[in-house]
Amino acid sequence: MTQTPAALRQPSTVPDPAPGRGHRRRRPRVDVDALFVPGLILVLGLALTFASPFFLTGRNLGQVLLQGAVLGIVAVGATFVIIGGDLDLSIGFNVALSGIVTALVIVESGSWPLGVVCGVLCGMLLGLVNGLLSAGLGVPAFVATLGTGTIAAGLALWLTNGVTISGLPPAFAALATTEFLGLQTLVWFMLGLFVIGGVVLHMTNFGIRVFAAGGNRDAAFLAGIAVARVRLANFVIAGACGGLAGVLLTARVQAGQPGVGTSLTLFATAAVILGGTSILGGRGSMVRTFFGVLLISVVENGLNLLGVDFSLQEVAVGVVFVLAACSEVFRRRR
Amino acid sequence: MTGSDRAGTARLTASGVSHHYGGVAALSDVGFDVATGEVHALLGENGAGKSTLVRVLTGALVPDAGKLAIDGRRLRFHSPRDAQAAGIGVVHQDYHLFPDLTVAENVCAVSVHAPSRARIVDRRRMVATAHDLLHELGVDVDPQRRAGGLDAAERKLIEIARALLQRPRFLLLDEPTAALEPRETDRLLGVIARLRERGTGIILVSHRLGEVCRIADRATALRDGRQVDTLPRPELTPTALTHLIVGSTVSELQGPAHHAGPTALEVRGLRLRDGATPIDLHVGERELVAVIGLVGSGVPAVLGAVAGSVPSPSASITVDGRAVRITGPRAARRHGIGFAPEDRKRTGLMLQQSVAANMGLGSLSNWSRGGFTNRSSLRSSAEQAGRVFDIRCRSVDQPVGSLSGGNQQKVLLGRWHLAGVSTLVVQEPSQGVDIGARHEIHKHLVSFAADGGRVLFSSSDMDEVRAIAHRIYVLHAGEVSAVFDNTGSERPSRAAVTEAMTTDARSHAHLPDQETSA
Repeated sequence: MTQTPAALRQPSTVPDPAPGRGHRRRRPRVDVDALFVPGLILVLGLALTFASPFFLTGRNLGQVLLQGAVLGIVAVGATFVIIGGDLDLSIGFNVALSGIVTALVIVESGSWPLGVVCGVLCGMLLGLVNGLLSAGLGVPAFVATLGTGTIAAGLALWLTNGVTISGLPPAFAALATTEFLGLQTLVWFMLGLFVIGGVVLHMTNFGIRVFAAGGNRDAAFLAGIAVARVRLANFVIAGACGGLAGVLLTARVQAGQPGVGTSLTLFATAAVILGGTSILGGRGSMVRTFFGVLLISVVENGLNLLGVDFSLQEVAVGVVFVLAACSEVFRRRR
Repeated sequence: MTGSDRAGTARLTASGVSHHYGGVAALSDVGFDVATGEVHALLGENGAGKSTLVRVLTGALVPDAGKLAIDGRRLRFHSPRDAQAAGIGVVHQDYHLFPDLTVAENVCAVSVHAPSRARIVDRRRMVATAHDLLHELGVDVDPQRRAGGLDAAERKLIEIARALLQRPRFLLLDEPTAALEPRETDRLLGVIARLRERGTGIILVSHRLGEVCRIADRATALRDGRQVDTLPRPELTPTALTHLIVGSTVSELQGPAHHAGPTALEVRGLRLRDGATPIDLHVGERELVAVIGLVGSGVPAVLGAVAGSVPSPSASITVDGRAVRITGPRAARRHGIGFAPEDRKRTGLMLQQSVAANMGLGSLSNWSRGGFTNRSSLRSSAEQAGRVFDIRCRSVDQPVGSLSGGNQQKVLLGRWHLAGVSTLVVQEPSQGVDIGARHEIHKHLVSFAADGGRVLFSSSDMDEVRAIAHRIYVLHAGEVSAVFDNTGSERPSRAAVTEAMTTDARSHAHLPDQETSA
C-alpha cells in the first residue's frame, strides 16, 4: 500500500493543488472506520459476559451464529444489490415464497433435492424479474422490488392458505441441521457464502463493475461498462441468496413459513448499512456486512439471555441501527 | 436600485485572514478589500485558497484568525445568513436552481425576502419583483417560465437576480462564466459592468484571464494560501496575470507541431435535425480535431455519435476503413474509442473510489485472468500512468474525489491511456482546470496524437481550440458552418472563429476588448 507516493509526486512548477497532499499519515482513518462495528461487537460481548454467565459459552456462541445464519445468507445478496446502487425490498418475501415453494414441491413430489432446486430457482426467478424491471425497464429499484415483494408475500400466503406446511422428510432437515465441526451446516452455508460473495465482490472484474455501477452509474456507462447487465446480475444473485435462505430456513424449522418477509428484508438491509456499506452504493465490503449481521445477532442473543420480550428485541435492534447510523455521520464529519 | 441609492462608497475589508484545515494552512495572513462601484478579481489556481477566502467572505466559514469589516465596522459572521444581512450577496459556481419551479419562484421563493402577505406567498408580487430584477439586469425572460428550460447564461443571470433580491452592496461571483460560451460570457460581463455602474462592489472569482482583463478594476492573486500581489487596472494583461498566479510564465501552445496523416475516422451523413444538411467530418491519423459551436448548435451530439453516448442511427461511421455501428459507449470502446465527458464529477468518475479503480475501468480485462482481478498489476499500471500524466496524489488508493480538477481530468485521460485506445473523444478538456494543469493536459493530448492517436474534442475556450487543434469544425444550428485549418500560416484569428460561430446572432454587450487577437 505504501510504495507509491514518492514516485507519483514529481516535481512541478505548479503549487500543490489539493490542501493536505504530502501528508502521508492520514491513512489509518479508514481502518478506524472499518473497526468500529467489530469494536462495538466486542464491547457488547464483554458487557454480556458480565451480565450473563451463559453468554461466553461455546454452545451460545454457536447459537449466535445460527440465529444470524439465514439473515447472513440474505445479507450477502443484499450487499451486491446495495453496493451496485440499488435496493431490494423483496428479498425477505423472496425467502418466504422460496421456502413455501420448496416445501410444496417436496410434499407433492416426495423428492427433497427437487424441492431444493425449485426453491433456489424460484428465488432467482424473482431476482430476474426485479432486475428486468429496474435495470431493464428503468423502474426505480425501490418501487419495483416493493411491488414484487408484495406479490411474493401474497403468493406465499395463497399457496399455503396461511397454514404452515408440514410433513417434510428428515433427510431434508439434515441439509441444515447436521453438525460439522461443532456448527450446524446452516452456519457453514452462511460462512461459505460470505467467502464466495467476498471473493466475487472484491477479487473479480465483476466486483469492480458492481462498485463502478453503484459509485456513478452514468460514468460507468460512459466508460463502456454494461451497467444494466451488472445490475441485473446483482438482482439475480440476491434472488439466489434469498432462494437458498428460504430452502435452508424451511429445512431448519421443518415447515414452510409464509410470515418471515418483512423483518428479514429490514434486518438484511440494516445489516448491510450497519456494517458501513453506503446506502447510496459504490462503497462497502462483504466483511462489513458480516459484522453487521453479527452485531444484530449478538444484540438479539443478548436480549434473549436477559429475558427481554421478543417484541422489544426488535425495538433494540432498531435502536442499535439508529445509533450506528448516527455514529457514522459523526465519524464522517470528523 | 441595487445598493446605489445609498450615498457614498463603502468598503468591505478582510484583513489578516488565516485558516487551517487539519494541519494544512489554507490561508495565511491574507488581506482583501473591495469598494462599492468596483470589480475586484480574485485569482489563483485550484488549491491556492480562493474558495476558502470566498467561504470566509460569505459567512460559510469562520476563519482561525482575521477580521472582516465594512467601513471599519467589525463584522462577525456565524453563518451565510449573517453575511447576507450585512449586505454581501453571493452567486456560487455551481448552479443552485430548481428546474421544476418557475423563474419567479427561483428568484424569490427560496429567500426570506420573498414577497408574502401573512406568511402566504404573494404570487403576483413575486412575479412583478422577479420581472423588475431581471429587467434591471437587462434579461428578457418570462418570470413564469420553468427554470429548467433555460440556457446556461440565463440560469446564471437568474441566480444573480436571486442574489440581488436582498439588495446587497457587495456581490461575490464565483466563476460565473465557467459554463458559458463566448457570446453568453459577453452578456454576463455586460451585466457585471451595469451592476458596477449602479454602485455594487463586485468580487469576481475567475479562471478566465481574458475576461478579468476586460472587466476588472483590480486583481488580486493568491498562491499557496498567501496573497501574492494586487495589480491595478492599467497593469492587467493575461501575461501579467498568468505570471502573478503561477509564479512563472506558461505560454499557450501555438497549434500542434506535428503533421496529421490520412483519414482514420470518418463520420458521414450525421443529421442533427430534420431539414439540416447532414454533417460530414473526418479525423486523420495523428490529428487533433475540434468541434465548436454555441449551445444548441449540436456539438455534444456530434461527439456523442462517435463516443456512443448519443448514438446516431443516421450516421455512417468508418474507423480505419471499416464501417462500424456505434450503438453505445461499449461499442465505441470495442472500436478503440475512449470518451472523456464534459462533467467529470457527474459522468466521468466514481469520486469515492480509488484512482487505480477509476483508471482501470476502461481496460479491466488487461488486469485479470479468468475474471479475477490482479489488483497489484492494476495498481502498478495506474502508478505508471500516474507518472506519465504527472498526477499528483498521495497514492493510487486515494479516492479520486479528493484530487483537484486538473488531476481528475488526468485520471480520466489515464483510463484511456491504460486501455490503449486509438481515438480519444474529449469534451471541454480543461474546464475547471487551473492554468498549469491545463497546459499539461494540452501537451498530453498533442503527444497522444503525435504518437499515432486521434483526438476529437469540443471546447468553449477559443484559446484552447487554437492552441491544440489541427482543424476546427464550427457548427451552427446543427450544420457545419465553417472548417478552419489551424496549422501553418493560415491559422484563423479568434475573431474569425467567433464570427463563424455566431453567423446570425451577434453579441449584445459592447465592452472594450483588451485581448490581443492574434
